[in-house]
Amino acid sequence: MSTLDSAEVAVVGAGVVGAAIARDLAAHGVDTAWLEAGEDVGAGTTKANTAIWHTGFDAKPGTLEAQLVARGYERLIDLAPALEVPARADGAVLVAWDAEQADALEGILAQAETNGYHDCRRLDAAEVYAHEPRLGAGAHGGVLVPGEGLLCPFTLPLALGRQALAGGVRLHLRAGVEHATREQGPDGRARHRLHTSRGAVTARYVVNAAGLASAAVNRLLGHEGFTITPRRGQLLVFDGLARHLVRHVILPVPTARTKGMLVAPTVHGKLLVGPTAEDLDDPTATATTAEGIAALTRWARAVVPALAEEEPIAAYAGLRAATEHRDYQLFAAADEGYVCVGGIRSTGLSSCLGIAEHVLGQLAACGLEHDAPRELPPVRLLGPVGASGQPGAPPYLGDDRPRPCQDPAAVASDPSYGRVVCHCERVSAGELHAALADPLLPARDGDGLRRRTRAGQGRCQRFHCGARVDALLAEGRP
Amino acid sequence: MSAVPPHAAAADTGGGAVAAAAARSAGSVPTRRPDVLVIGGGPAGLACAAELARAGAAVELADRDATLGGVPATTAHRGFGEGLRRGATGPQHAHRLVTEAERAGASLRTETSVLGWADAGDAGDAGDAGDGGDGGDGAWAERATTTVEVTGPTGRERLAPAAVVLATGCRERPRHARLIPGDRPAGVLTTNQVQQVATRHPGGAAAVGRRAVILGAEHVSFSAVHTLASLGCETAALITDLPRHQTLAPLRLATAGVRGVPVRTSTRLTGIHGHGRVEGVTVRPVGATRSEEIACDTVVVTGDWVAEHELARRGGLVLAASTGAPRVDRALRTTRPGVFAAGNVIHPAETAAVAAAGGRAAARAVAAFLTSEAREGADAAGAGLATRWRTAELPVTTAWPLQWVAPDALGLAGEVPSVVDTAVLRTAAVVEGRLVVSQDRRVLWRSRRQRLVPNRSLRVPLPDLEHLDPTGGRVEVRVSRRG
Repeated sequence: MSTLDSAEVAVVGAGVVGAAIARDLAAHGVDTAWLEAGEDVGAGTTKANTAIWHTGFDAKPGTLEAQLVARGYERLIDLAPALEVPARADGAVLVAWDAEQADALEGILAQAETNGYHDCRRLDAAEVYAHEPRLGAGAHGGVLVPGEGLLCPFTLPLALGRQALAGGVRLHLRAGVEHATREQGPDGRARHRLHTSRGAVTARYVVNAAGLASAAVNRLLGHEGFTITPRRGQLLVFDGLARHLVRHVILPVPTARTKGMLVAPTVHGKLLVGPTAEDLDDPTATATTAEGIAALTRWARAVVPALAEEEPIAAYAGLRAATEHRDYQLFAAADEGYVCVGGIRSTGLSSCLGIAEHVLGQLAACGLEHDAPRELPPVRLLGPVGASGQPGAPPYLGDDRPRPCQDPAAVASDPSYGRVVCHCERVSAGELHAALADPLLPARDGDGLRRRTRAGQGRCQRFHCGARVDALLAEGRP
Repeated sequence: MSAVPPHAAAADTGGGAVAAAAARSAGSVPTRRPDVLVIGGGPAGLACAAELARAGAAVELADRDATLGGVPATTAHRGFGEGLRRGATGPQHAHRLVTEAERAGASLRTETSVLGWADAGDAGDAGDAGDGGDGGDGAWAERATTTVEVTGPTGRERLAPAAVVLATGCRERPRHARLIPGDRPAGVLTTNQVQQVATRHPGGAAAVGRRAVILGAEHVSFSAVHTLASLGCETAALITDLPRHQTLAPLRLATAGVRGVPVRTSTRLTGIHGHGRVEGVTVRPVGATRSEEIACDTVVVTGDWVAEHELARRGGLVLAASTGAPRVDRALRTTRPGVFAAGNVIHPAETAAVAAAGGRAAARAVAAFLTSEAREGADAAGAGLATRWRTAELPVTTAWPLQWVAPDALGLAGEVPSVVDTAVLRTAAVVEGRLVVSQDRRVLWRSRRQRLVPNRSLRVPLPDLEHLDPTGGRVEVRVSRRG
């Protein structure tokens, strides 16, 4: 079989975790091949995340997950603005809905302290309603978590990935690993040979960040220790016209099994409810169910009664890579040059940069030599043009900045930014063209275009723009 | 967390607040002041603009699309028009309306998006204004103006007309708003998307497959059978949870009938399946416990119209719960001073002819308003109108199985004349009976006995104010099954 690539390090998986690792490898000047079985970066389990920027206040103390979520949170404070990833620490209110739950609040506060998060504050019932006036009746009290926030699960992997590519990483899409062998390289040292559908990739070191497939890839590399049980989470999204109903992330008191269903704003100005938690055997079961949607609707109305009057604009399901263990499955086989990053659940969005730093340390312990970290070229997004315009880049998706069509300077610079195609989400023709023409990570299909621009993601669900966007995509596809 | 960058917490995607902030930061968004701004260039908006221009008003029409004409402009089949000219295709009909408005002297602008209201304070947070904004909320109403933020390829601007007519039309209720579970494959469409592929964007044809299941059995659902066929896509079945189809027999015959397409009545769509592309749907007869599969690669979710109400809602207008349509009175005044509404945004969905007639009626009310004393004391942008603008008076309500009625208020006699003497309404269930208009228990009007069918246009005359008890209760439209 032909050789697709030959690198010092091969990273398997282009979810948010793989993207953060690839980005850090680029920052350290490491020769890296990056493999993804699917069609795009961030298109698997990452895109169906609950989009919460976790502080780690409620993590299981002493776990690697607790440590890496806290570290990932910290790194994102600087990197999110630099990468122009929408991220906002609006805070969370954890609400106790009965006396028994209220009794658990002190334990939650103590757990946050143990985790090194010291900003939590106990709220009495009146304070809960002062923070969230639209909350349904019956709150017994709560905990304020000021640093808990919101992230864009679409932009984060793409921005990390774009910076990795700008830093020299080579991405191979539709290159799922089918089997793996060990061989002797031309310099006489042992190396991996990863056989993919597009050819073989040789690498001294392999990082397995394959998400739902991480256990399978782990076995291909000759290791055991964990299995993935996909845990389905169904989510319901309400239109932006309902956004004002909630100010913070509204968390329930967690149970032993799940963190429970939250009601949260999104950085895109929507309102999200979920996730459910259903253990499944089928790693492709991303369907929503009548029962799941009914449970989400009930919960939405119980937490924020005014949501009974609002229409959902999307329902979707994601699969979390749950394992039989209570922690990430992150370990290195030093003599083989293999690092496994398995069982990264929904916290991966927040912890990805903590994981990347940890993985770099593990690779160094395996013998990888790398440069001191360098500044990667900035990867700016489109608009507002006055601030950071760079042609051929997708737009900023957060609702805290105007879209190019709203920005007089952007429209003056290019009339196509004033030509609105998706009216619900205010996406202009200029942005769609830019996302298709991005030299680093162009949109290749409708789903990719939606994640980069939000076209068609609004309340009309493509009634107005679907045909035109599809036609643009058909024309503009490379 | 002081280390966290202080991102602004905007409670508004793309509406007034962020847009206005962008405009302020840029500092140089020009303002223009036409007499009237008509928002929406479908039949209602075009007819309204034509009529106002003829009456001598400086009227500007803004449509966000690149082509004027609204939904008819993308609907290739015949049957459009008013009076004797009912044989036109949608694009022909749209062309006639555009020509009429142009000749009358209206300024028609395409690719012009109205982003939101430029109220003093925070126009973008319309949600909160809407909660208490019943038109009588003085603090809010005093801030409410008719000034809007606009964008387009020629740049950003602000329009401060004396009156606004919302003619933003309606859209089909999409899949997720109907809570249909299952996968999210490509190939789940609305009728309008299919029509746009057929008439305007052939490059989007990949979305339309070879075999479709249509959800709905109202007029537009049968029209979809025809449009799909023109694109080489056969229809496997139409699915409706109602006990009968809701169109006219000739339309059913000409579309589904001649092609032998079954109409599955009293049947629910319980799931959509497929990875990548639609592979099939599951349906279940009402009351049955077993589902069955229908193989298809396309699902068209049709009808069940909802008002395109974003601007109405951002402006804090009172809306009807079932359709999201703004409340209007017999002068087609909304609850926001200086703002009128006409066409399918108030009655989703009537024919293009009915929408156009509504647009013309609104023009008469607006023309009267422009010269009325109601404008006295108001500044150029409309602030200060509130005290004389009282449309929430005398609401008209419906009782089950009736879903909605428009206009849904009578308003008070005053400077602005009553321009609508008939209300349109819908029933949610098939029922035999008489439509009755009453105030308290006093019957004001009663129809002949008829079969009322959902998704079909029903009408009642609106009572004249002199026939009402001014101290009495609300006016109600209901169905009487007796006699």
